Amino acid sequence: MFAIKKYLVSSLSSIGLVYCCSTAYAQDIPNLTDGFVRVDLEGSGGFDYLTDYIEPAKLTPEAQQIVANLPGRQLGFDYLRESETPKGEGEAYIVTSGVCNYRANTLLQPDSSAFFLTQTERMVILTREEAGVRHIYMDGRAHPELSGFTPDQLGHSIGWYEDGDLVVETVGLTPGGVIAGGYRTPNTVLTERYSLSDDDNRLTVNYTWTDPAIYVEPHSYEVFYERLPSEYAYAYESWCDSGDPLNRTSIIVPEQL
Amino acid sequence: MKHSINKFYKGISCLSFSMLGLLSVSETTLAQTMNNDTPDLSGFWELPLGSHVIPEASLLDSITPTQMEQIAKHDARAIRWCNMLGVPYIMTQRNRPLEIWAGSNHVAIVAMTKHASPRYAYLDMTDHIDPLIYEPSSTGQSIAYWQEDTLVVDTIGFSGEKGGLAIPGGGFRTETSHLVERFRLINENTLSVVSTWTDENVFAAPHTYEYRYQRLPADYTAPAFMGCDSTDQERTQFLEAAWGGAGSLD
Amino acid sequence: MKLPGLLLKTLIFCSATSFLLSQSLAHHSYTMFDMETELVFKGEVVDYMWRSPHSHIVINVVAGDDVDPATVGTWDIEGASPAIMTRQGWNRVTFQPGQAITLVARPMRDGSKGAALFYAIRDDGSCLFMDIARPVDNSLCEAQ
Repeated sequence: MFAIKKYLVSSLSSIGLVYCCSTAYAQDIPNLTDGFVRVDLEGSGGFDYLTDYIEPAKLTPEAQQIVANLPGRQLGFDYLRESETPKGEGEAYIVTSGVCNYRANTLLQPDSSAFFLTQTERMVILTREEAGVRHIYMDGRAHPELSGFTPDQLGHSIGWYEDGDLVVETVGLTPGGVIAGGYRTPNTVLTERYSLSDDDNRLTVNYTWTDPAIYVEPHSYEVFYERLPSEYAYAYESWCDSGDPLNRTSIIVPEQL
Repeated sequence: MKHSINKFYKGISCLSFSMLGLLSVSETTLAQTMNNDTPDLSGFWELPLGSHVIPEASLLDSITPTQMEQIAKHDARAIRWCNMLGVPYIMTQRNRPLEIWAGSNHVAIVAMTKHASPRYAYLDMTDHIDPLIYEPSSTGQSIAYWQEDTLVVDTIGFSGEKGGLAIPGGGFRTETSHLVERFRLINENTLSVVSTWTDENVFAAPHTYEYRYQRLPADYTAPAFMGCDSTDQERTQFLEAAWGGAGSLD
Repeated sequence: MKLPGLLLKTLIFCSATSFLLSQSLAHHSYTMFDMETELVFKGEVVDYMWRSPHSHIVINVVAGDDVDPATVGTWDIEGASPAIMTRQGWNRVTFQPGQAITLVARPMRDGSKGAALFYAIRDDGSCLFMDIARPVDNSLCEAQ
């Protein structure tokens, strides 16, 4: 009888302990199903300066050489015209080819447009208001062997919850540039940690790029987002039409009134 | 020995209660966070051949063959220029799976092609966005609710210009179109989507058709995104030859 | 787990160029604007074009006491895409032709009547930003 009582007490204690632990575990799943938009907390002074606060990547000598040999930003079209001569009324500045590209990179790195997370048990997806979807497998699967994986602009991402954050690990990316002078190859590991503030509205994403062949130390930075206010929480559609000539133009000098 | 047995049973007892507690509590909260108390529509779905029932639409007498030809030409141009084709196109494609992910406050419906921006059906909205503010789009603006075992997605805010306009069975979408889709699991791996279009400027009677999708295995891995290259000369020549020229807006 | 060296090198050389090109085509550069200069345009809306890839506000500025002479004329002020501006509080009916408007924008380097929008100053003195970027010194917003 004493033994039964002892087991009962022990079991009830266990239930209590586990209840506390599991409640904590349950609270550890952040509610991320929503839209978020990046915020400029310090006041960068303009669109071109938004990432100035991020410390430059510390590259290995080999990676420095690769980055130094990359082709520079391709300026063409009306950027090459004589800069001292204004254009006349009705004249347009043709500034791009007008081709609507698939902007996979915006699903991996910060952008000024909103992004959306949808959480389910087996999957979290990250989308924007244009074509494209990033899959984050939450079902416990491992990354595929890279020797048999065709590198992709979004790579292969798996995720899990840890201390109340969503942690996402990505490999298998096609080679390319990374914010603040960084670089990546299929072997580079990107780890993202999505952390919500106590009031659930501020989302801080820590991005860490790790690759001993490229970085002397992990290239890590934080970008800040806010949950979209409820009146603007819905997604729009970011339209693009490659066949529309206006898709190629910037300023069209207006008729002077 | 007795001590060992006692210890063993005590361990088993604690473990079983622990597992029970862990499972029940975490599942409840997962359900709250991830909307798990409704049929599980989340996953990758494919559309097998012949898995549809599409009657001929009853169009208004004012819809002329010339108008339908213009719509066909419009859609050919949209394909040629890699426009996002939107709804209903993405619900009827067979070259890539359709994805449905049901989150706590919205259901995302995604087609992995250049031809589509994601659809978001909001479970926490009872009214559509003010049409004055919402820019008409190829996907429209959707709100959703559960009606017993059926997810009802109600969409307005369509563009009469953007993307592919043709509707299966006849007719086309306009800014006055209203689409109601009923998503229901016939069994664990078969999803029925019954779509009903109404539009006072196109249809003489509501136009209803059904597509049935098959669930892909849980360990399925999404293929790489399928792009669309509007500068591909071979593709352009093929499309323009097939549809009699679908030029730019120049 | 790791990719073989030769395959990796091939991928690097094949992908880097296309990656950078695609970046450059996605959104145009601001090279043709003098991003160090901010002008305050006080005028009237001639046209409000809410469209992708960039919205445009055509405004007419008439000479006056509190008007910067450098801003007099009819200007095309280029904003961001509707998707970006929407998140800052804009919509397709925020401004109408004929409406008075105050804009802070960066002019073109070549002297053409065009500028890159930074923000609008509303009647109540608050600012409506084009993008997520905020001014280092936002006293202009508060001073109104």
